[in-house]
Amino acid sequence: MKRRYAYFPGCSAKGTCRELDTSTNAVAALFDVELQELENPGCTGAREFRAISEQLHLTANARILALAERVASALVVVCDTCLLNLIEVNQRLREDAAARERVNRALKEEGLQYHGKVEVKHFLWVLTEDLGEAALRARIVRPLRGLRVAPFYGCHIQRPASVLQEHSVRDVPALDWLCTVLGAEVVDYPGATRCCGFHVVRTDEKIALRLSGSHLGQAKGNGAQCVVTPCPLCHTVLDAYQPKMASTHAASGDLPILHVSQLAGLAMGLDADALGIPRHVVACEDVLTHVAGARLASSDRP
Amino acid sequence: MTKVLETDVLVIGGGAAGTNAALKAADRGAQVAIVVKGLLGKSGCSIFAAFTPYFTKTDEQARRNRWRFMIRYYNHYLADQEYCARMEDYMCEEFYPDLERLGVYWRRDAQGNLEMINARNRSLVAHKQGATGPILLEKRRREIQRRALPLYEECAVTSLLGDGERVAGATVLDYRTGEFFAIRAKNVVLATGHSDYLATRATGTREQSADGLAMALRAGAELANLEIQWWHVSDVLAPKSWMRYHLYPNPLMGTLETSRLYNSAGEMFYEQKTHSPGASAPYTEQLRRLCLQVQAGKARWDGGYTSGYDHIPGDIIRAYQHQAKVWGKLGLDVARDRIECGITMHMRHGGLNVDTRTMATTVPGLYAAGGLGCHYLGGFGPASYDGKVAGEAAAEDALRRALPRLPQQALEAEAARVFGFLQADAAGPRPMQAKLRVRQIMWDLGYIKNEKNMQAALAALQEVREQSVPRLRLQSASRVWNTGWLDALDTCSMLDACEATVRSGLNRKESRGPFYREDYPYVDNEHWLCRNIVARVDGEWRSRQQKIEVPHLPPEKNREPFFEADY
Amino acid sequence: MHLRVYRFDPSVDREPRYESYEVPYQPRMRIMDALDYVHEVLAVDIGYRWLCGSKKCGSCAVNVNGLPKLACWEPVQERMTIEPLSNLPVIRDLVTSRAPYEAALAKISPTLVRRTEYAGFPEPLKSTDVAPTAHLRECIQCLACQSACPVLRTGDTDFAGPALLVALSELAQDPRDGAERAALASDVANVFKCISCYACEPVCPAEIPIVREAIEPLKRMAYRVGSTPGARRAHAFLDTVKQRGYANAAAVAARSGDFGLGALGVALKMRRRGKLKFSDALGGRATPGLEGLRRTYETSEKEDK
Ligand SMILES: Cc1cc2nc3c(=O)[nH]c(=O)nc-3n(C[C@H](O)[C@H](O)[C@H](O)COP(=O)(O)OP(=O)(O)OC[C@H]3O[C@@H](n4cnc5c(N)ncnc54)[C@H](O)[C@@H]3O)c2cc1C
Repeated sequence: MKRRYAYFPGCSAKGTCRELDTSTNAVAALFDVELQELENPGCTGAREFRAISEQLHLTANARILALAERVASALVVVCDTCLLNLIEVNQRLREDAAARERVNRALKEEGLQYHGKVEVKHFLWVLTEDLGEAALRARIVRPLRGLRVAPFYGCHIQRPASVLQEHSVRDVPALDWLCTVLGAEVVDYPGATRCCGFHVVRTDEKIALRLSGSHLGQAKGNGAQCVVTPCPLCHTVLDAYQPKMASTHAASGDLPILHVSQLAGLAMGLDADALGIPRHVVACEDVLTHVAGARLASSDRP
Repeated sequence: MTKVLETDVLVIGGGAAGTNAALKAADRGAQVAIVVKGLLGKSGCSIFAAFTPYFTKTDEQARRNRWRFMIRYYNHYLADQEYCARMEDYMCEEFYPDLERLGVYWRRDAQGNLEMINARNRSLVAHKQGATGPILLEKRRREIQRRALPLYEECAVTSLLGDGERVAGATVLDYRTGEFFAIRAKNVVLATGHSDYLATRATGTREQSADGLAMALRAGAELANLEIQWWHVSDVLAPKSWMRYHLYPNPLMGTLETSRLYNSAGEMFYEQKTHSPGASAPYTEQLRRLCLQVQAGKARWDGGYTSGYDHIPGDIIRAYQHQAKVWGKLGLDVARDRIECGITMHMRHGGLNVDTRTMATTVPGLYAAGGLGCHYLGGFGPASYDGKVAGEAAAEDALRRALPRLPQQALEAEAARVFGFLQADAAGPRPMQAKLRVRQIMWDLGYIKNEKNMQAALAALQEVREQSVPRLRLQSASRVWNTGWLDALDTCSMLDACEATVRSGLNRKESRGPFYREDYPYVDNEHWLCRNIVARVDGEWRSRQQKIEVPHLPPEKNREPFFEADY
Repeated sequence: MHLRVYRFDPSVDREPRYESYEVPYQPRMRIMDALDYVHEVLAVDIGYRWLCGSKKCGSCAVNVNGLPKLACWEPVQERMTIEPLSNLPVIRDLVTSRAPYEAALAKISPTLVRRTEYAGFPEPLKSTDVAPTAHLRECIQCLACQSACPVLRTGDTDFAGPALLVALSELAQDPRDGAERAALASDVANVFKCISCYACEPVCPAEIPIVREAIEPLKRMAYRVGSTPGARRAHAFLDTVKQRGYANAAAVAARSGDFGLGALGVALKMRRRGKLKFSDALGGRATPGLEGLRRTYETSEKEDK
């Protein structure tokens, strides 16, 4: 069955983390999932618009939602921070008629209108909820058996709880669940649900280095061979800043950081280059070697 | 040598009375120091005040209702009526502006009108966690900090020091560090409240061990009407820590509906709107009705009966989001379920015998404000008024006088007493156990009193005093936040206060308000419309009566059976 | 139930230790009831603070299994490791010093500074005027949020922390207040050092939406003052989006003027992997076809005055 989604990759997936966009599309293609990218959607504003003007924050996100409404009934994002902005604004505008009216007044000039018709979801949830276990398993050709993966959720896919309802699969948090389905071993460590510090990395770098350094140190200490994250912003701190943490903080500097789509892609037999894995600052060779050794066993088929 | 600080006015206590006393004394130009056993604005019963009565003078009918309520139902004719008139002026003119100026926001509607609990007596709310007290105190706390008035928190005053003629200061134990010091002062305002944790279940906050009563007693002050002890009937039974969560029997904002009480057979036995429409705070009436249920075997003092709002339409009661949250936290639905309740020892009507024009006690240099006084039951507003009166009087007097001499001998004796408890021994008995025992004695004495059970309580208290206290040992001799050390000091205060209370009860040969004597089951206005006073002079207990004048609103009957009197 | 309680008396102990106690479960039991049991029945003199037992005083918060909780409010768990709040000095056992919080509070002038003279009771105010602070006024200063804040946990920061920002924001959004709250938010409380992780919210017993209702309004005020790197960055971010239709890391960094040497090493590594183009930093022309987007953004910004 073909599934069609509106797709908002966000600035990271179009810039520093282009491999995220590539790998997401590559995995989507395996499942006959069509991601239709929005044209000139602008930005959800990260944490910046909301720190400038509340109205701008609402309108910028409503604009994206309005564009998505023209395409499909669900909008897919691949960044935690985009996810929270869009879900929060969607929720707020659905409840608050006055705010909806203000926003639509601003959108009108461009011939756009927000109706509140799309659901916003992370690509991770497309995999875990829309496609589900059977479909995923059917595609796995290189189960990540024995690979010890530390999930790193990022804040804005979990908090605040009032906006983000639980997205667990049978009581297991989505990312843990996905790792297990892909055949990997989940490494438990306190940092999994904590903050990477991205939103101050350019203004108060030491905070981000301390926080992420300690998470990575814990993950590594608990035996992780790599980290997987659904958020490109977390990815940037954990990966690009990791060498810097190695010199000053708890991290060792050699823990590969993968996007969710890359980890899934590897298990599903996609090529490391096609997934953009060589673009990471921290080399991923060890992970690739481990995965290359994997063969499909009959028990991995549903 | 014990460190000695100096000030004009020393304020002891950080509730409604203490905070206002400090601010008003400072307004008058006096140097002020404040010592608080808990945290200022976060301790004492002031933080439980759910709403504040709104007094206006324009509506004559409302004023008549209020007076009848104040004098008859709230104070059982034991209030000082001239005081009431002055306090009423304060409530009309100063209380609200004073606090609003500091930024308190009393609830309004979208048009800007004050929202009121429109029962027979009107009240306003400025909520924080379902209560008004915490937000009022937060603003006063910050004002006190802004003015940089010296504030000693988590410091317990252990004794008042006198020079033989007047009070000259107090000794303080900073229990965070174990430092013991003295504050020499021209005048002392004692504002330690009237909700003490003296019974197994009580509304008093943790640190409230009646230190104020005990210290005043030891300093020779007169205490009056201590036996007029209120009890809450509709407080949560379990968890135990929630015994201070109160299911208000009086109307909630936006409705005239009130909660109901049900006995173990599920029969409703009390509803304010039906059973005591004139009494906005119908606690004594609730008590009497519960008493009948207990006697009929259909409730216990500690459970076996419930309270709830399930007769009130769900949309009305669910609007009380705080109530709904509290119930929800126990897995209950405020619109459908009922909560099992127990009684809790609540505020004490009586306290230090004061002259309400200045709040001076019978010991020169010592003023008492708020719940600690004997002249009025209490309330956040009245306690604030008392603070103002005491603070101003103490300041004005202090500005005219020199610092009194601090009696070195008394100071060293108190240091020896306090540090005497700091002895560690692996084998108990622990101070907490003595403290629990005192609470149990007062709980067992309970509501229904007679000569015999009061005598028995006295004997039991005496036994703790003589048998346990001298043997108390701590787990550690550390001076830093040594809970056991504090417990030992608390126990001594509690014993003094409880003994005075029981003696006072033995003296009063009638029943009134929350005070019920089986052996004198009638209200006797002819003989007992008085301040029933006890004091200890040179180790001897003394007692006397001081007539209460009732110029504005006298009682209708001289004598009536207790269970028939409607107040 | 099994309790493991942190014991430490700095005046006598060289280092903290944990003591274990077995406590029988009672219906509806709160964490505080379990601690009371240890103190009262087991007669152990643990140092722990509480005053009201009913979520009014906010003095009993402790860490339970790593998360700050108001002891009188939260139910017990089968196994509990109970420790003092983080980010505050320990006085003894579970009791922490509130002094650092009080000192920081004093720095943000936490009293109302009236814009105009007080008009007398009741002063003209509508519920709608104070609606933005309704949740903030529920704060009981239990400091659970301060304990949960990862920025404070780094130990080395001039960030005030969530509890202080709640206090400041209540005043800053009070229509009666005329103090320079923006400068306080920006330069004293360092509001832009909030990392937006929301760790403070789930631990708040008053359920205050701290980030959205306390911190972000302050950020918006601080943005207008514009003196901190955080504010400059927000400005640069918006400009870049308006110009190109999306945020570009290099461009935003260049515009905020924060291409410090510290970040250069990281940037070089990113460039080597094709993650960053230095040429992007060079500003250049606005991407065509974005006129509509720019207009929409600008209309909205203006509407917020
Ligand atoms: C459950 C409950 C509900 C109430 N509801 C209402 C209401 O809705 N409306 C209303 O108006 N009133 C209400 N009241 C009554 C009102 O709260 C009190 O009458 C009033 O606040 C008393 O204030 P206070 O300052 O005298 O004493 P408290 O507020 O009790 O203050 C006593 C202070 O003294 C300190 N202290 C004690 N011992 C020492 C020591 N040894 N050294 C130093 N400091 C010491 C304490 O730490 C505390 O700070 C209620 C009371 C209770 C208990």
